[in-house]
Amino acid sequence: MISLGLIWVDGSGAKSSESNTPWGPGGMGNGPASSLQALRHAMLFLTGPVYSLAQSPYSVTDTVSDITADRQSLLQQRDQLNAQLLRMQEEQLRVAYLQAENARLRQLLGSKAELPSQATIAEIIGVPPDPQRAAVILDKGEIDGIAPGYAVVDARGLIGQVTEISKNISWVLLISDRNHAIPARINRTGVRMIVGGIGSADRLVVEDLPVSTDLREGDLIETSGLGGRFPVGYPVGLVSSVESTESSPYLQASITPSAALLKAGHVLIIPPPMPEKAPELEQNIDVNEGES
Amino acid sequence: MRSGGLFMTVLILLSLVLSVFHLPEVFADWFSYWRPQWLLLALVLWVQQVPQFRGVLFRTLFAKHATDDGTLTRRVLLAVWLFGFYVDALLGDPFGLNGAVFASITLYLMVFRDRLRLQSLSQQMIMIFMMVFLSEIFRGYIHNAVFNQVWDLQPLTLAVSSMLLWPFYHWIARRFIGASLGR
Repeated sequence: MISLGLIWVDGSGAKSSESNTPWGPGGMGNGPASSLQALRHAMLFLTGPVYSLAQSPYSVTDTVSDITADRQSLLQQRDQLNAQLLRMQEEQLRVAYLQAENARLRQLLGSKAELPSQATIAEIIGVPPDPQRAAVILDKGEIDGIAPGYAVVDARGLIGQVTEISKNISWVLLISDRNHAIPARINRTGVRMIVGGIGSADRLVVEDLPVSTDLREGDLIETSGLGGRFPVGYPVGLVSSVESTESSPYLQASITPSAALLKAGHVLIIPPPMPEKAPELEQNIDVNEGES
Repeated sequence: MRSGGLFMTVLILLSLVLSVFHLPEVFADWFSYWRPQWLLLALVLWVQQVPQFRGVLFRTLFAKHATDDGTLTRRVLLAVWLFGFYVDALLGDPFGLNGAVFASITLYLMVFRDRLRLQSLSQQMIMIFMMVFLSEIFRGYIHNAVFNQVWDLQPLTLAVSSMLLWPFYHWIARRFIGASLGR
């Protein structure tokens, strides 16, 4: 009898968490923090050691290969990295100039200057075993200044966003998840669109773009910065195929993600940009963004 | 007697780690469809041994002042249900999902304990298959409702791989707990 009661409580627990869980970009940050979220927060903190243990074979292999790496290859690697650093520094010089120019032009236009974002480097310490869940677990959490809604990128492009955090670890929903959608735009033309995940790590889809849109294979798709979650201008992927059928008023286009969604080891966590528009407009966009 | 408890503790910790362990990318996709449900197998083993545990920890947690079997059952149910919350956080499931699965399996195992003891290994394997299959269907239903996930063959593959692993658990239980409990 008690067990039946338990299961009933359970069911309602699952239901209430269903409505409260900040899963998906739409609902996050809008709902009040519930006691269930507090419980999850505390429990997530306790799951840290288990993930570290599960990751330990990989960390041990890394350490061993670090120890046994020979001098010659290390020197070679250092030379390569030095060359890369030089190139990056040169680019950085131009970025500083462009940033100053950008700020001046924005001042002329009367809009606020965008603050440069502070990125945190994090390591991926776990992957949920369910093949249908496109998510990863990072080794940074609340104490490192991370909050739900932060964007996660690797060296080549957008990876996902932080959905749940505890003190020391955070869950990241990947852009390839079926519940994820990104407000994006075509780099070449500036046309805005929404890019959704379909559960496959090497393909994203464009949602509801009219057939008349100028979209070609090889176009770079980047974040548009609308919705206030992802900073503007991070690469999402390259258009791999564009098809239009007579029966549909929309283009069927697929996108290959720029970021290595499955292979990334280290990632950057980036706070959302400062809101420039009215908050109620932001929320509206947020809701639209949530559907997949 | 102590070693039985120690063995179960190690087994449960190992199951927790194994249930979030992922293989390198090459095998990851294949393995994730055939990963055995380590936690459910450990739970089945644990529940089947519950009446025989006489250790200090077990007594303090469950059997102290337990006047009858019903009280013990309720306490064990509550314990596995609460443990389910931790697993929910670990696997990123909605809260209460794993608790419901664990508690219902525990209830079944404890109510039909005497009958299950008489079963042969192949019958036990069929039982494991049914339990994992049903729990995965339940989990799939909740995931479908909450996370918008599609249905696939996962319940079937997970049940088969868990079932095929059971003889190994059976052997281990006999080898370690059976010996330590003097059965």
